[in-house]
Amino acid sequence: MDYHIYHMFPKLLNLYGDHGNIITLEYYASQLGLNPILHEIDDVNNIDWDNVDFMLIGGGSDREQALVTEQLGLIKDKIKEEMEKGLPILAVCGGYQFLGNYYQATNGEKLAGLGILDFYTVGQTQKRMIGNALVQTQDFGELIGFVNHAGETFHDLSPLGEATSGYGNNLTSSIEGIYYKNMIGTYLHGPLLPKNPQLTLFFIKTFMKRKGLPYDDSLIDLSFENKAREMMKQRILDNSVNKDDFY
Amino acid sequence: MGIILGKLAIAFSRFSGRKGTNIGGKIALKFNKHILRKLTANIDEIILVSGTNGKSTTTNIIAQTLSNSKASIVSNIDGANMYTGIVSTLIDNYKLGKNNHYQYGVFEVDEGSIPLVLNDLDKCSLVITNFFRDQLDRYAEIDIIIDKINNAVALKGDDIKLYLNVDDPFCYRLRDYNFIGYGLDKKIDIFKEGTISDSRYCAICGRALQYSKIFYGQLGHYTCECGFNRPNPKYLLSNVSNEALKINNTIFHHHIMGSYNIYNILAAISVLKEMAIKDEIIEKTLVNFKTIDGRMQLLHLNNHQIYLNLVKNHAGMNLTLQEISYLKVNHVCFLLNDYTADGKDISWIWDADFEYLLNMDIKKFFISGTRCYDMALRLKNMGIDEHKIIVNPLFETIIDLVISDNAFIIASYTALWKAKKLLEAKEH
Repeated sequence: MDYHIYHMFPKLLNLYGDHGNIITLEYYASQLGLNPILHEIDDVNNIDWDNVDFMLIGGGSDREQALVTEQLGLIKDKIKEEMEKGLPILAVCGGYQFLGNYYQATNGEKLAGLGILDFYTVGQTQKRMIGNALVQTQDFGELIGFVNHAGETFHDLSPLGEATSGYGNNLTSSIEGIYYKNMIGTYLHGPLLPKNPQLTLFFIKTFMKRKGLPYDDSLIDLSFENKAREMMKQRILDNSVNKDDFY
Repeated sequence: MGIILGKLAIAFSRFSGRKGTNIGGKIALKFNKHILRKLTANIDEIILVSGTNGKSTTTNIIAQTLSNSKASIVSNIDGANMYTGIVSTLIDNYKLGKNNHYQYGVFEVDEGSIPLVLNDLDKCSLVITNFFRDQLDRYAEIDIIIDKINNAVALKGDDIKLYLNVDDPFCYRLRDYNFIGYGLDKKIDIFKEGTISDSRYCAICGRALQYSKIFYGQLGHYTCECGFNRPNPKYLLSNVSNEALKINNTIFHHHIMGSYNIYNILAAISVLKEMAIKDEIIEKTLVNFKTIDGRMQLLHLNNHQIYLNLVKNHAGMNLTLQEISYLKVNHVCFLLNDYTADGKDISWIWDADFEYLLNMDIKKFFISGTRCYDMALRLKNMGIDEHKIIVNPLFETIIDLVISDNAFIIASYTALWKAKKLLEAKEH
């Protein structure tokens, strides 16, 4: 069974190793007997909407992000429609901010977002939110990642989880991300999927369910993943990753 | 007062087994916020080298050549390149009661420290090697760091002379100032292009840059409809053969390993030629160049060749992986830490083209460091057989296993010093 992975604007929205999410998704999909096919989209006319099985929208620098807004704007209705129908989408950092109504730059100017979901982000210069983060979620257990953003996001939608260590959506609340239908919007880089296999499997499981295929992940070996999680979690809890260290 | 206490702090730090590369500067700064101005007052000419990759090697070629030209120089060749590190170097070399005059000061400068350092100097030259994504946990975005450097350079006016790698559109954004360009001829064909580039989009108008040649990353011959075109550099590297390169009309022989070092040699030669240093002295230095520890360092242990190389970001990793493909090694080892000096965000390992390894005949991969399992996942998820990947957070254990065959060890910054110590202890 072919599994069509869409990576939106990988040349522009490619900060902080987000491509690692694709490498990881492809690997697991192969392990589960699927035939992953990667579509790297830099022109929205090249999307075959009947065969989109997963979509990644990553983050770019402010300059690069502005370049993409126009293109993504052309397909915002289609993205929304597919999202409502249950398309698995992962939107990270700038990609997450895009989904909202607007991004207010530090000079007060409001840059229009895609308006796919009702929320907004405000840029600020007081403090950039940088560092490792642990996010406790109801549906996916604990997520481990790294955040690096200056925009503060505000919404009343259903969150992905709560940051128990590190930053969440903004400087005043520990709420992190959005989880709506099968769309996950989050500030978590890392990249996110390699160290959070439960999310990778969720995206693939959702695809298989939508296609009416049987799903069984009991043979997937997660020993490296589990050790990576254990080691990183311990470092975050000891706070040893956030200190300056002698060596 | 600050200088004396700084000297004491360095001595004490060394006595307690540390490198002591920053502590002296930190203490001296408490007494005088602009102590760099005082420490450099009697240096005739100052050359700074910055950029993401190649700073240390470029600094060392310039410093060693100037030394060989019988000039008196001071340089932070130990690589302590933050503002405090440079201050520490100068304090360490400071002779109390003397005038501390040098003809040249050659300093490697961390990109983030440029504004502070420039602020304390009257006149200087600044070499920029390249800009790649590196330690974004400290610098946020390349655009932000370039803007800061741009502002700092603007304040210097005619008191600064830049040396820019014109093949890098990021470097060339500093074109509005007094600069000397250096770059490669279109026919140079020694790099693998790689898949991920930081940005091949025009910083002025946002359009995709048109490339007639790409060397690696975003480095190449580019033009843009808006007129942001790579200029012809004053120093053009037009030919490379094994251990020789041709710059403008002169051939220079050298014994510096690593094809990516041609940019560093070119940058250094551009500076040295502008300073009217004789070609013979430059070439003599290049042929006898003493490699910096951990930069393509070759050790011989039990009849095995062990290479050790520092890698800090995806661009350096891609070039290093390319070097590995030219060598006969059965073991490849990754030592990945995430301390402050390494960068706490190690996501760049997913931007590097480890996929090159799939076409090499590597028997085993060994991994250690605080982020060893992240690295293991990088290899596993791209399709390397898990059984070929040996992971252990203990350096000692991994190093012992690695050196049982010809090996290439890639280390992040803090891991490098530890690995070097362990390996050199075994060498004797």
